[in-house]
Amino acid sequence: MVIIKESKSSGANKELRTEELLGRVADRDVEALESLYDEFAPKLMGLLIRILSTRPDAESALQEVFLRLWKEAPGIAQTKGSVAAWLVLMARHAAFQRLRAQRTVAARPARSPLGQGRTKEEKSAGKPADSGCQEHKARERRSTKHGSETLSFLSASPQLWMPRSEDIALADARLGLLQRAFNQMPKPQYRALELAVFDGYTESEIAAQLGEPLGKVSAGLRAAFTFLRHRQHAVLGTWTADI
Amino acid sequence: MDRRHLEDVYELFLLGALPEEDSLEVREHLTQGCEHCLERVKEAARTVYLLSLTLKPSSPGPKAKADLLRLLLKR
Repeated sequence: MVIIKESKSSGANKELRTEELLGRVADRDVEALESLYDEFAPKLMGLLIRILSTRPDAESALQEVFLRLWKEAPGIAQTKGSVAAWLVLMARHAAFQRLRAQRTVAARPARSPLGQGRTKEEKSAGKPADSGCQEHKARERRSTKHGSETLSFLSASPQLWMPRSEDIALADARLGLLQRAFNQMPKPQYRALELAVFDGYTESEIAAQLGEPLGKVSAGLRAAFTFLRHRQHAVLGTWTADI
Repeated sequence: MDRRHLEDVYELFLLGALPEEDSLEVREHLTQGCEHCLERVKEAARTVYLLSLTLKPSSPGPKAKADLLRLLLKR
């Protein structure tokens, strides 16, 4: 894990400037979008390259995110939430939609003409030539659907989930401290977390990847996020009686 | 789904790592306006944001920006 040093320029003023730029983007100001691009594209590209592996794919996903920002800016601006957080979460989902489509294509069985590739068992069971293909298509539908409920929620209801600008400004100002605290996570928990955060796997896919029971993986992931939440409260000084 | 059960699923929901039926349930709960859970999902979004920034930044090529601006000016 790379630790990004705290930037002295980060903080409330930067967030104010970002909010102002977003307002201008909502008013169809291309130069304002260009400024937001210059500010955030390198961070998003680091993430997109990690998820999608190649620069062309990452740049294509980056373009999709900024086109979406252009389209949705009026609604996002009304929330008074953090545009930085919006960009990061949308970039993640744009990348994972692509990654899942790539995985689905890669897993697609090669079709042979006239069903010549059918096994003896399939032929003797009287299965039609494309029954395996139909089962595969059903798996494809399930796989590409993963995350679609979340993406739809993120896009339709930004006011419900976007963190406040000042909360992200505070977290940005203490990013180095937070990441040092995050690095204290036990390694087995971190591996499962990495598969969810950077490889886009669901809990059940992570269990299959690690060869562990689903219950153990689910409990481990929840413990990992509790760990991160507590570290944030400690670093940001936001403990409450409700925790 | 009771509130205590939902307490620790928001990060996984935002990551798209929950089964679709669970995601749907979480989404319905949030859209009902539970204030406690709306605070939690904002906190979870911050966690996902911070985790996503643990990677080294990398500048996109100049053509990527030019292509984007060309598309915007066409609209």
